[in-house]
Amino acid sequence: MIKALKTAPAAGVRTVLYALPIALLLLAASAAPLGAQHVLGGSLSGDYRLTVGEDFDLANTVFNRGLLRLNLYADLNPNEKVRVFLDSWLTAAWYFPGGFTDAVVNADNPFDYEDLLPLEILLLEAYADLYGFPHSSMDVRAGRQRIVWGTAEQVSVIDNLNPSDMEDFWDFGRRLPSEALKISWYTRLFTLEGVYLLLFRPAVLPEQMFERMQSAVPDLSAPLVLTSLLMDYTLPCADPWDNTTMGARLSLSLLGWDLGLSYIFGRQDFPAPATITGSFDGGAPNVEIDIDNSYPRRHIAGLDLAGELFGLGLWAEGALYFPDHTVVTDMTEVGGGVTEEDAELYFKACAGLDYTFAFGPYLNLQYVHGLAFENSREELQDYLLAAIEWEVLNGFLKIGPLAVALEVDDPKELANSWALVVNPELSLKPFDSAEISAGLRWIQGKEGTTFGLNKEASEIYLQGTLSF
Amino acid sequence: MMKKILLIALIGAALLPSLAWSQDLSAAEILERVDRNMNGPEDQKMEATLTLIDERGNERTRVIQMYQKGADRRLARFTEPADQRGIAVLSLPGGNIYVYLPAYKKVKRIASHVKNSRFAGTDFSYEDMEAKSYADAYEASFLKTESEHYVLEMIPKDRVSEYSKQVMWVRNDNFVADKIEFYDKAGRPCKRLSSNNFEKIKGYWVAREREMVDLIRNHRTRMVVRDIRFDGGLSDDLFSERQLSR
Repeated sequence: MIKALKTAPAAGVRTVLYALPIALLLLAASAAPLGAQHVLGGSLSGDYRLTVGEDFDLANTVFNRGLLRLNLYADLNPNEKVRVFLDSWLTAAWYFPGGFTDAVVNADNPFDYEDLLPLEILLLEAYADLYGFPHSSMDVRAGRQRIVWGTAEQVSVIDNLNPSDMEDFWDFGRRLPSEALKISWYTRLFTLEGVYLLLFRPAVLPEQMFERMQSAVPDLSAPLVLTSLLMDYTLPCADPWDNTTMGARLSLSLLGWDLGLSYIFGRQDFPAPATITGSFDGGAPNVEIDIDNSYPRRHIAGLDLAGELFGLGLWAEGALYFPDHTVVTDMTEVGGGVTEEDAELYFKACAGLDYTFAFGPYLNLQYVHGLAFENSREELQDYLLAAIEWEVLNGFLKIGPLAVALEVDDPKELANSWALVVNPELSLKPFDSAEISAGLRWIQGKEGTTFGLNKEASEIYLQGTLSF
Repeated sequence: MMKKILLIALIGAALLPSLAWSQDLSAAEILERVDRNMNGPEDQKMEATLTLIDERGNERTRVIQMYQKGADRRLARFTEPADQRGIAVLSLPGGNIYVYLPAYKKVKRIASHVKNSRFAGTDFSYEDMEAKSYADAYEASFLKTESEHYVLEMIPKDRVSEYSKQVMWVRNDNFVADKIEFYDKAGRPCKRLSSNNFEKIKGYWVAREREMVDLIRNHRTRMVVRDIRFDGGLSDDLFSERQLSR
């Protein structure tokens, strides 16, 4: 059972931040000279999935996701010094067994159309670019924006400014844009970026996350039995400093390699236990554990590089995380004691290579130590990702016969700590701007692993996108 | 006698220019003149339509804006179709190529293995799209002279090139290359580039239409120049990663 989330809205500040780009948009539109370049576009996409289970039992498939999404964007360039960009999602999503998101069926009128088909509107990005401001070698971007750092393909350990969006667990690397001010300074030798994020936003958690979080529950000695588990999530309060994230990145090219050095001071976007309290649930031996989660502060120092060797594209990232929080466990009421444990620094890394063969296939190999939702030394696992793609028939068909993710939790106990996801896929491009994909995600592995926990969620899917 | 000497002298004077074209210009010099035509402008800005035609005659269309400065900097940006809108490729000196993918909001350096692959599904590879000086990139030798063309054989100096050689037909009246044949590593002709509808704009020869044919896959890409401007004073800053993601 999860208690109500304690939120700390900063509505006034958000209103100002949203109003600023909209005001700039209106100003730009009203002053737009003839020939100004404005682009309006978007896409319509569908995503439908059937759960088939680890045994791939096609006779007993369960419909588990149906999503229709309209993406609209406006890219306005009234002159060469100003640009305003808006991007939004309008989503109608149906999740089994809960039904439509936020569905509230009206008991008086179950045929109320609006109640049966709720929509979610998400303003993804809304920002203004000022080029050559305040100096000709500088650019400023203000508003809600996606800030991408790092050189890795899809799975990065450097790209930490924006919070993770794990609404779709399999869409690795998706992040929520943040309200921020970014200043970039370009010189002949290097580029320096400074970023200030005004408001903290937590990560969107996947369903699978709640099982992982229960691993924080302390072991109980017999005859004590866990009968109730409560989870609290405390967001930062309205104080601006409490919400602040800051970062800087220096990037340069050296001897044919692109290098980046970065630093971020902010909050972990995934919740972490701050206090764990044990009490009797109506009397011994029944125990209730109350976990109060917070989003603790951390410093991250990162290094990334990309280049090539013998024709292979190569990239690598390393990040040292300095968490700043203490977990207090109070089990005095149930016969235990009080312990305090300071979070220890930990290291995440990723490295990869890619290559396009002369006869067409594209190969991508990556090693990752620590995914985005693994935020302590104990949680870090190792993953090997591999994919082959091949476009044939002049791009009409793309075959992805092999996309594999291998998880290894303990290399010394490999037989008991492995998990594997196999994801073959076929994509068709019947005409320009249209794509249809069908595939399978088959999960196998041991129960204690991240992927293995979800092997019953093996699925087949059909997705389509029409861009305009 | 004097009349005979005068006649011989007149005939010799009439023949002298044609003798000088074929004997006084080396392959390297001809290639330099081609470069002056291709890369002569200080800068150029162009919008073109690319039509991809498969063996059955099915067509797909791309619209691209290209900017070039000198011989070694080029920025190409797609404006159509919708799913490729905003994709941009930047070619810089030293063979460095960067691509911006708006879906990932990321600038990525292209490794040499990608240079051999097709640019946005067209029959032009990334190597073909690179801005370069022919004289700097190839060793040229004279193959033959035809009535209207010099025919040169060009061997790439860069061993990473996907081609073992190119054969270029250069018009002997204006030194524009109106046909190039590309040979793969096995020495087979694999692609052919034809240029047509030449027009002189601001003193520069421009091919309004180009067609790249993939001889092995039987696929072609036709590039039609819709608009082209020269010497507009494009800034060096335009050819940078900073501009790529705008």
